[in-house]
Amino acid sequence: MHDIITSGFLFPNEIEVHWSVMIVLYPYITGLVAGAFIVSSLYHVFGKKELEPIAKFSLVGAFCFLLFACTPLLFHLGHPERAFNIMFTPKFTSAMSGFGYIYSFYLVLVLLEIWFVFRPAIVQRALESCGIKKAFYWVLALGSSDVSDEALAIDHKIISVLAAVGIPAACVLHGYVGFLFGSLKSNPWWSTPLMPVIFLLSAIVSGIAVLIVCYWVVMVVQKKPVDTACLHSLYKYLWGFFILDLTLEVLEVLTMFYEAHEEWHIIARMLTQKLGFSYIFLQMAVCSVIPLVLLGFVSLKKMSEITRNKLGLICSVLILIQVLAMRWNVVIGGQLFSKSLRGLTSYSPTFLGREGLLIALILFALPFVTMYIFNLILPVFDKQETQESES
Amino acid sequence: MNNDRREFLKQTGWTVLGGSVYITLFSLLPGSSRAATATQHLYAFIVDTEKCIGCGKCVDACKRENSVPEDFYRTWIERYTILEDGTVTVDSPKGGSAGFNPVKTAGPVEKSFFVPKLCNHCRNPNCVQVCPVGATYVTKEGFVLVDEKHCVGCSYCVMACPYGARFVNPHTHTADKCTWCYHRIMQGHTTACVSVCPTRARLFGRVDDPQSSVYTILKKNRLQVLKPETGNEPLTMYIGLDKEVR
Amino acid sequence: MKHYNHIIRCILLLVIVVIGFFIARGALVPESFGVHGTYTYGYHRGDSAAEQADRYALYQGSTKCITCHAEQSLLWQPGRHAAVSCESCHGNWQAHNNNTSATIEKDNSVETCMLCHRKLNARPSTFPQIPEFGRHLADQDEQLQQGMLCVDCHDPHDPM
Repeated sequence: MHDIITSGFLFPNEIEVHWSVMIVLYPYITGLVAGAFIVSSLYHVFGKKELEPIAKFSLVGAFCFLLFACTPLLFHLGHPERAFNIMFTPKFTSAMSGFGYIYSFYLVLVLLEIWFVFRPAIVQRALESCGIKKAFYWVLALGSSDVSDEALAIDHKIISVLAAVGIPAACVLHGYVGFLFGSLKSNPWWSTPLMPVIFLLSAIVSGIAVLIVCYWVVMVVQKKPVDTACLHSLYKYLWGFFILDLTLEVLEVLTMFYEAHEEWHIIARMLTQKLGFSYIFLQMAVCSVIPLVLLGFVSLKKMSEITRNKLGLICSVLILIQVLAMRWNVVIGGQLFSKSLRGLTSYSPTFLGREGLLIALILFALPFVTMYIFNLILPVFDKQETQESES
Repeated sequence: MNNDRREFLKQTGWTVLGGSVYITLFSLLPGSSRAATATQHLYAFIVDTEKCIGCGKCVDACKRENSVPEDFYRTWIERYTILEDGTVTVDSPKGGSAGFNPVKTAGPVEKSFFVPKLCNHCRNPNCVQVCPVGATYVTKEGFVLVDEKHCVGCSYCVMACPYGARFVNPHTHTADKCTWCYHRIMQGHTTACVSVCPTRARLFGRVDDPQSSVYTILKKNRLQVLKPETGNEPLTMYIGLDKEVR
Repeated sequence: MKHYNHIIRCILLLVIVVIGFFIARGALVPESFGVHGTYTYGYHRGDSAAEQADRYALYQGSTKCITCHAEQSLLWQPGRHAAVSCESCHGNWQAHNNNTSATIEKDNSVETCMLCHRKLNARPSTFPQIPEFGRHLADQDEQLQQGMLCVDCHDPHDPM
């Protein structure tokens, strides 16, 4: 606490940054959930057939990120053992109080959708395997082996309803995270009605990007050819949503600059002196201009599929970094300047410790580990079964 | 199509039914139907910046009375130094708890003054509005308090306070701030900071009692509050607040 | 209807989870939790305020001090330090009361006085201030020695 470098005047309680890298990670993971789910809905609800190879995976991806979306919060809370107070005694005047219910609702929804989508596969394994394995799949199937055409027809209908309900739910889940910040009138860097919209769009963008990267990795590991039509379509969605996202991000700052309220001078100092790398270099220059231009070419220009996919992959990685930088700049940036508008503090996360980088890295790796385990239990990229569940 | 609509209606029906069951359950279980005791804002705090000498006795007394952890402050004193060329510097070494030393300035001083700060115990406190679990609240007398046995330590209130009055206590890991010495007031004392102030720059009392030290000031003086644009309506009010103070 | 079997099991499981949640809530939420006043500002654990009020006050005020220290109070009350409470300089009543040797915090250093009376730009100009202690001594009388203390001339209880 004593080695924090400050300049100018801060209220004495503002020197320590209370919302750490954990609160950066939380909206990042939540954003990946929302984005991945929207991709799965493009297939299940809007019938974008070209996304079929990734439809199941996007749902599983959303589920795995969702499982760990609130773990950073538990590491941040002063009293994680009281975390359930948010559901036991929610006070609905608080934007944050909805978290427990919105999160649970969404978790149940995704869980149900996955269960219905994978039910034929679960039942099949329950019937084929023996011993403990059989028991395990039997429990997963809730003891019901009904995979008759009539039952599957009902399942299919339910999946469509769940996927349809899931779209607004995903938007609420992430728009709400943006609202958490956007509704705080005390903080001029956060308090803008654009905040929920920007969070939502960046969530969709990051979700699509992470699916592209994961799909690549899985295909390379499994030595299977990638589905170029599917990827091409994803690049187009990524480009479209990224244009919207970036436009709003620029407009937000442009408005602040042009209106030049009394807080602008300190925000400008913060952006240049404290967030020079993460905001100007990463979020606004390298990781936004390059993908913006490249994705335009990737989406519209004729080129060999190998080049297209390579460029698309690079863009996806850059966009993942851009969105992470954006979360950092919002969450940490909002705490770097004093509410007296007279000074700046600084923040660099520790490596070890409860809210350190190591824990953050582990928490971010866990969803991917979970995806791997999920794939062991129920193969996600098995073509045969995908078609079965659709019949 | 018809089938889909029936399905949809059925779904809606279930949702509505589920929702009503849920609300009923919530209202049956503990903590629902309490006799509503109306909140009154019976007290006010007056800071006279023209009288403050920056001795830091108040900050020190507050720290002792409330066991405030090191490097955090329930109350603090800011010193403003405005030079003739218009530059403003503000400082608050150790919150002013050990007083202030003379400073070397870059040019002639136009004016300089102290401003003690503390929780404003707002009429519309947005720290209370944003608490997700009901761990911070306004008492029936108008004090804004934190329930440290219920607080989850999310720091949302710290972010929401426009005045920097809140912090997370590193010992209890819960939100912490000035209570206007709630325990002392309930026992018939005044606040610790008021009781040790040598120049009566801090005054605290009931707004409805003609005997109280704030009664006449509230009636006669022209008072300012910090950041009135937030709509929080602070009940800590200032005499002689300069435009540079935020 | 028989094809709904797995769906019914699924719903049952959900219902069990929801009931479990309410049982846990009933067991864990304190009895006094609820709306006291308005929902926005008064939804909390009702016992909390009373618990917080039940804490001993360290600073008990000068009236308590003068019940024993009448001699000093006779000097102090009509003097120019009458607005300065005992506990401003001597520490809080509780610390004195807990102290077995029953000594009182008494710091006669120049610094103690300078905390309030050092000349600072930010202090109100009407407040008595000493720009420099050495100069102040010289200004008063040539016979005054370096190393003297404020209290050698001024009684802190009645300084003028």
